[in-house]
Amino acid sequence: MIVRAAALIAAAGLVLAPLPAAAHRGHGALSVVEIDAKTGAVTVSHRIPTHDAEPALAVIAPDAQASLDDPEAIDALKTYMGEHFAVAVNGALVGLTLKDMTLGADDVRFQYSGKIAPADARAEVAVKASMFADVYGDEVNQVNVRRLGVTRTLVFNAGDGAQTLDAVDPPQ
Amino acid sequence: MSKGSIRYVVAGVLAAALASTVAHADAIKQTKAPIEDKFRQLEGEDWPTPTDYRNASGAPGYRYWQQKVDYDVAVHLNEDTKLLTGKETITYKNNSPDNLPYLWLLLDQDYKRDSISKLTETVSGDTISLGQVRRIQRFKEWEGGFTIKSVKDASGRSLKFTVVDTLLRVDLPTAVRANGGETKLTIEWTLPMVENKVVGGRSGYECFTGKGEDGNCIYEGAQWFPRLAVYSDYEGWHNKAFLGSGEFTLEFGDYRVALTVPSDHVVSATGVLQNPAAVLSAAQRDRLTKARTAAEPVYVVTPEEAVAAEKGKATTEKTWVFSATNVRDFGWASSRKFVWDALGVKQESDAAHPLVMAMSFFPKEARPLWDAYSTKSIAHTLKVYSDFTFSYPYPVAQSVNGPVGGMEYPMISFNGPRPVKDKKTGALTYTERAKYGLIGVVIHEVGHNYFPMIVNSDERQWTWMDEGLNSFLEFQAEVQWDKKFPSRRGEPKDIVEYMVSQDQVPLMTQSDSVIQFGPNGYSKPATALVILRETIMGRELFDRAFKEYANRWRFKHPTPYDFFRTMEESSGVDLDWFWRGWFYSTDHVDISLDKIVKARLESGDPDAEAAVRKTADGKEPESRTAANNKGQTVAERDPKVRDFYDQNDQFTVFDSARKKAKTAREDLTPEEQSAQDLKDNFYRFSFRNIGGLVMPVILKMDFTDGTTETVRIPAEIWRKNSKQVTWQYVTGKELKGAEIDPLWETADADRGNNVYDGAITPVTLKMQKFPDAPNRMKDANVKVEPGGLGTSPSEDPKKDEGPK
Repeated sequence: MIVRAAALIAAAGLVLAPLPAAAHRGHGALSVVEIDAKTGAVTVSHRIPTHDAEPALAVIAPDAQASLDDPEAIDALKTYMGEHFAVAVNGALVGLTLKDMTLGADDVRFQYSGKIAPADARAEVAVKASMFADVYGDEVNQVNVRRLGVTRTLVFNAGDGAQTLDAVDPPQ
Repeated sequence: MSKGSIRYVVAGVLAAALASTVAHADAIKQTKAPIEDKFRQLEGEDWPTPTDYRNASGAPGYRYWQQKVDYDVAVHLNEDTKLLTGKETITYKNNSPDNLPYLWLLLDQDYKRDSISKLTETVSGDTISLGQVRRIQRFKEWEGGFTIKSVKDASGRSLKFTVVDTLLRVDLPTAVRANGGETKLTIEWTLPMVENKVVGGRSGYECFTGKGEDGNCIYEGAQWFPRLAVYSDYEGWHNKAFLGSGEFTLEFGDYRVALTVPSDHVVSATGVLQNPAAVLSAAQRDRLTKARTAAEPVYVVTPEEAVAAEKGKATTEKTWVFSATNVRDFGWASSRKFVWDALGVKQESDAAHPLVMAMSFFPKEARPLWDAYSTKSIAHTLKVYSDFTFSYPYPVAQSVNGPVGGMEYPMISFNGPRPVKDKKTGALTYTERAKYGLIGVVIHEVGHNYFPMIVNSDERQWTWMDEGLNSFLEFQAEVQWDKKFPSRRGEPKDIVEYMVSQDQVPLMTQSDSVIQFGPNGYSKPATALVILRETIMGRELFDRAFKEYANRWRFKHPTPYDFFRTMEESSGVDLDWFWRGWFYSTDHVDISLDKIVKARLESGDPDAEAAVRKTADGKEPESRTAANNKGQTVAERDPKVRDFYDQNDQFTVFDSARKKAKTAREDLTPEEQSAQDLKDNFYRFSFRNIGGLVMPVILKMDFTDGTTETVRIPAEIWRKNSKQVTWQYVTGKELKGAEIDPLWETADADRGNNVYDGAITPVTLKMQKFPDAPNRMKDANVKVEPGGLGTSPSEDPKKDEGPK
C-alpha cells in the first residue's frame, strides 16, 4: 500500500532549474492537512513566504513576469502547486480542489478541499510535498497532518519523495 | 551523498541540536518522577557565567572590549565582464587581552563554489530541465567567488594566507599585540558578480535585456570584499563557514571606499558621498540640498535624467568616494537606470544627528510605486524604531530597487517589489499586495540598521536576535502605518500552526540548522515579544527594558544572554520561564478550561443545610431500575414494614442537631462567626496545560447580571504543577460562563477548549476548624508563672478535665 500511494503521488511534476538559496532566509512552506473523521472532509492549506514564491516564478513561469501580481504567473503557480503537493489516504489519491488563494505581502496562502470515506479517516496517509525543492536547494517543507485531534508532522527536505503516516489504531 | 545519507545527516543535526539544549539540565534533575520544572532558573545553570566583559545584569562589563577594523578600499566595476577588481588596506586594532598571531576574514561569496554549502546541495526528481542544465553550464564557465591575488603587510611583504571553505586565515610575522596593538594589511582580489535571477544570493546584477527593454543593468554589491571576522570574548575567532542561511557579524570600523564605475552610473552606498562635485551635476547637488528641508521627497536624479542615461552607454568612468564612520559592513548599488529621490528626516532629540537623509534609488520599472512609498517608508521606519531604541546614528538611510528581494547593510538596503505591466495592453498596475509588500520590506530591511547593524548580534549563530527583534519592530511600524496593515509576523494567532508542529527546533538553535527559517527565525520570536509586551510585562516595563537593551548594546556585540538578562534586570520581572518556553523549547500554548465548580460555605444552620441538600437530591433523576419496575415494592405494599425511617428521611432536622449547631456557633469567635456568615460564591476553575508551554491564564468571567470581569492570572500559577491547576475566584455574583484568552493574545492553539460550556458543578465547603494542638499542661489543669517553670493549679479549672 505504501508503494502504491507513493507511486500515485510521485506521478506528476514539472522539473525546473534549482536556484541556490536566495537572499536572506531559508526556504520552506508550511502545509496543514486536516481530516474530519466524521465527514471525511479533507482540507489542505499551504503558507508560502512571498519571499520564496515570488523569485521562484522566474523558474515556474519563465514567460511571465516574476511577480505575484501577474495573472499568468499565478496560473502557473497554481498548476505547479497541484503538481508538487499530493495526499493519499488508504492508498487512494485525494482529489483536491482549490478553494481559496490569498496573495499577501508576507505570504501566499492556498486552501484546498477534498473528500475521503469517513471510514478511511484512521487509515494510512501518504504525502508528497516537493514544492520549490526543484527551485531552492535548501527548501524544507513541513506538513502538519491533523486527524482525531492529533497533529503529526512530516518534514520534506529537497530530494525527499513521498512520506507516510501509519494508520491510527481504532479505539479499544 | 545518497538520499538516505542526507536524511540521516539532517536527522543527526536535529538530534544533536535538540540534545544540546537538553544536556545542560542533566546535572540537576528530578530522578524519581517525571516532574518538569518549567520555572527552573537559567542563571547559574544554562546561561554562561558572567564575566568582567559582560556582566550578570546583561550589560557590557567594566572590561568590555571589541576590536576595531578600518578599511580603505578602491574597487572597479567592469560592466562588460561584470568583474569587480579591488584593493583594500585594512587597519586592525586589537583591543582584546590576547595577542593574535593570525587573523581570520570572511569570504562569503565563496559559498557558491567548492564549499560545504555547494557540496551539500540536494536535488529532487529523476529528470533534469533545460534551466537546470543552463545553470550547470553557467557554473562551468563561471567559477564564482573570490580570487585573492595578494595579501601584504604594511611594508609590502607578502603574507601567507589559507582559504578554509568561506574563511581566510592570514598568518602574521608578528602577533598583533593585545590591549591596543595594531596591524595593517593590504589585499588585492577580484570577484565576478553573479546574475542574481539565475544564481541567487544577496547581491549581483540584473539586466533588462528582454523584449522591449532598454538593455541596461543594475548592480548590487554586498559581501563583496574580504571582511575581518569577529574576535570576541564569547567565541574567540568566529569559525563557522557560510552555508547560505546564517548571515554574519562583523567588527565596527571606519570606511573610505572609492567605487569606479561607468561615468553615466548613479551610485548608492553605505556612508556619505565625499565628492559630489565630481559625480553630480550642479542641478543635482542643488536638489540634494533642497531635499534636506523638503516636506516631500525631492528627485535628486529625475526620472527624465535616468531615462536619458539609459539611452547611452558611457565609455568613460567616474569614481564615487564614500566615507562611513562606525559601521560593520559596506554595501553599494550602481546603475545608469537609477532615479534618486531624497527627504530629510529630522531627529530633534539628537543633537549629534539632527537630520537623516532618507533616499531611494530605483529604475523606471519600479515607478510609481517606489516614488510614492519607498522614501516615506524609510522615514517612518526611522521614527518608529528610534522610539523603541535610540535615535538613528547615521547620516543616511537608503532603499535600492534591484534584483535582490530584501537584504540589509549599514545605511543601505536592497528591496524588490515592483508594479506589473500587462503583456497585451502594456497597462501598468500594482496590487495592494505589492504596495504593502514594498512598505513592509523597506521597513524590515531599513529596520535592520538597528538590529543587527548597530546592535551587533551574530545571525550566523542566533537568527532570532536580529530577524526576530527586527520583525517585532517591523510589526510595530506596520501597525503604526495602518491599523489594518496585512502583517503576518507578530499576531499571536498567526504562529499557532507552526507551534503545534512536531518537528521544530528551539529558537536557540544555530542558524544553519533551523528548520522553517521564516516561522522560526522571524515570526515566533516576533510573536513572543509581542506577547511579552502586550500581555506579560505590559508596555511600560517592556519598552523600558527593550530600550535599555538596545542602548546598552548599540555599537557592541550582544549575545542572547545579554538580552535575556537585561530584559529581566531592567524590568524587575523574572522571565526565566518565558525564555525556557519560547526560546529553549518547542512546546506550544494550549490551556483548557476543563471544569468550573460553584461552592458555597456551609452556614452552620442545619435546617438551611438540609434544604440545600434536599434540593440537590431532588435534581438527581430517579433510579432507572426503580422507575421501570411496574409492580409495588414491599414498602409500598406492606404497611407493617414501614417505620420511623420512612417518616423521617435523611433531610429531616431534629432539635438535637439544632442545639448542637447552636452550641457550635456559640463556640466560634466573632471573627469565625463573621466568616461563617459569608454568602459569596466560591468559583473554582480547573485549568489544564495541554500544550506544555506555561503562560498566564487570562480568564474572562460573564455574570448573570450582565457584567464581565477579566482576571490575568500570572504564569507562576503553574510553578508547582505545570499540567493541571485549580484556581478560585470569590464573588457575590452568579457566574454565567467563562472563557480563557478571549482576546486571542497568547497564541493558544485550540480555542475549542477555552470556553467552558458544561454545567457549573455546585458544592458546599465546610469551614474547617482545626482541633487545638496537644497541651498536656492545660489538660492537667495546671499553669506556670512568667517568673519560673514551676506549675500550680489553674485558678479556673475546666469541668470534666481533671486527671482521670
